[in-house]
Amino acid sequence: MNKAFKVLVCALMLALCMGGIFASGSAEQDKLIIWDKSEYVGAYNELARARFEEFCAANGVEGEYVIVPPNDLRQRLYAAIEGGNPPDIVVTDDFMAKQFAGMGQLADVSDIKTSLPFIQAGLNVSFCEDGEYIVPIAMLAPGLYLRADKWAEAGLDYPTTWEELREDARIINDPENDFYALGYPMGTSGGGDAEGMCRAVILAFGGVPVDVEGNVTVNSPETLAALEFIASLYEEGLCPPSAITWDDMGNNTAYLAGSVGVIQNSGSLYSQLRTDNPELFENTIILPFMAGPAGSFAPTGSNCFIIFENGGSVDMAKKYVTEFFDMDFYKNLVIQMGGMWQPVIEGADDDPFWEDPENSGWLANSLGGVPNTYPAPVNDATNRAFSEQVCVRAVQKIVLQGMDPQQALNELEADFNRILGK
Amino acid sequence: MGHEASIFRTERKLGLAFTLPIFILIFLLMGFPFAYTIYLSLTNKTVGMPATFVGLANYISIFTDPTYWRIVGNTVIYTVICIVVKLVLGMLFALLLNEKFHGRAITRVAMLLPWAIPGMVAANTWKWMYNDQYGIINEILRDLHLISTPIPWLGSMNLALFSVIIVNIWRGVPFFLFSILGALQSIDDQLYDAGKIDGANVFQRFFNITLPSIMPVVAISTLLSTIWTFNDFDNIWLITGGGPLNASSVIATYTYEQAFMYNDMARGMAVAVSVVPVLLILMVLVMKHRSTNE
Repeated sequence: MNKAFKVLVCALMLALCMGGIFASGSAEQDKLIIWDKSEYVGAYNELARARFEEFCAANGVEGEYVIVPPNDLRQRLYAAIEGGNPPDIVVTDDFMAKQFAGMGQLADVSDIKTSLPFIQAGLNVSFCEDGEYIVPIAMLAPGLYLRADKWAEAGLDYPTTWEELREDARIINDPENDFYALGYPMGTSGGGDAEGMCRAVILAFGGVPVDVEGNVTVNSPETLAALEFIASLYEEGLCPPSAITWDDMGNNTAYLAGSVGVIQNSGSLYSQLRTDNPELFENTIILPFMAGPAGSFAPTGSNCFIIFENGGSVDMAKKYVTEFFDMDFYKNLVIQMGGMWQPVIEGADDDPFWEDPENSGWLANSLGGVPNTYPAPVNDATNRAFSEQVCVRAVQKIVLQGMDPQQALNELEADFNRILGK
Repeated sequence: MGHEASIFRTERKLGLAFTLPIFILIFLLMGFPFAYTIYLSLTNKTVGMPATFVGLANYISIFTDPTYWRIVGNTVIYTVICIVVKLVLGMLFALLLNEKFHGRAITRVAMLLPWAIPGMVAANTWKWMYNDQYGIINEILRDLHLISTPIPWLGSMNLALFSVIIVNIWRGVPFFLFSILGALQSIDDQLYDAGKIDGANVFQRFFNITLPSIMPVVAISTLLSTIWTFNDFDNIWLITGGGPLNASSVIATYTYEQAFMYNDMARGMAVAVSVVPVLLILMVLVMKHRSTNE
């Protein structure tokens, strides 16, 4: 009896312990969970949340809308995937989404993509060799913001090439009075601005990081010239000293503070300038990307949906994503972003908003860009190379460690080979 | 005698039976993740993919990588400088606050603030203060005409580690201060009176009465703080992200970078496990010290 009692006590306590542990892992299977990007324009998250909650109420499902800062998304998703509990839907940048495409974690969305009238640019930017896993939400066309008043004061014409931009910057630059001509972020925080700028310059100078067949072709005189050019912008003090470590917010903050003359950004800042700083807005002009000997290239990304196969509610998630593109809601949402987003659905640009010359410029830019990994095949490896910011690291080595540019380029080539498994 | 031994054996078994679930729970919560981490470090694990055993390949890879040894060096520099300065400053402030003066209570509360402020808030505040264009540190240095161009506190290979060390010291001094202050207040005043009667000067009283009396507290505080500082993550990650080019990266941030930024879980785990022996030695010292005191 005594022994039996002891065994019973032990068994009961063990059951309580184990029950507590395992119960916590299976509690939220029936929820529709979306991880949305925290956007620069606050109205987005309010509208998206309302839309999601409305959808959940109409379909009788419990929903959870979670806002995740872009810089934290990858880490959180890794943990969720390993824990076997990923969200159903994630909103993220396309270069981030493409990294998950090769993991076998995502649900095929070809049915959504064929059922909705996506424009060709939207289809291009969401294409991935690994499969149809990405639904574009909006294009994020970049533009070159330039302080027209500073150029006018100096009596300069607007630059059209990278070389002209550097020449002008040397004249405009005034660090003694806390004004730097250029505000290009070159930190490795994981955002896309710095790597995008490096790729734009490399391509413009005639360099090709990875060719159309997937061969690593970065180690060329053209890329070397491009890396030396980018490094010179920091070594000559044309950018603020800390810009070499700025994240993607660094240039926004500096431009808004009036302390830099040129930045490269999406339309997010433009809409904020219009409302928050009309004077600076009036003194700002948006120019096309600078050109080099090989032309002008504007790496263009997009925001997109991905649906996790293991999320548990794939069908409901697909229904939500499909209904998200209801024309009235979608048109209004994109317009609310104030030019920062450009539509990916045919007919969504049929609104007076897009006839405004400023907004039509962003719309035109969204149709003329190249993928972030251009001209390489679009797959998880080439996007991982973009996401790891390998070109940014090469520039940092030259500027911060004083490394010989050719040595930095050799190491850049090794990085590409490592990531692409060459 | 035989009956007593039987009761002892029965009670011992019963005690074991009652504590067994707790042991199992502790193993599940602490031992299993630790063992799993070691296992992962011996595989080629990446997120979303099954792990394949690769033996010591990850350890060979990190031990032959100069970057790893640079990170180890950073970790040692960070830990040693932080601990030494925190200990010295904590001791000085504790001695000061042990004296009676007007405003002592307010000063004590003020000294506790850096430790009480959430790490996220403190790190972001310092990050803003370090900003080369708008930060208050450069602003003051400029106003004092000590610099003409801004210093990139977080963007320089030479200054980034130094900058995060300052923040760790700022946050960690109160722990030493209040630990030592508590020990100081427990010293019997009669010892000092006897010292004075015997003609001992201030320094003699400090080295022969104060220091031996507070040494157990100093030792345990130093050991605990060494473990915390060695494992410090949020302070560095939030301020510099370990950059630029790993100039301010330590083992904790490098592990995170490898595992979560580069999706090389196995290598990240190998980096983490590689320093476990150091931490084990520190933990053994703490436990030994505790058992000696008990």
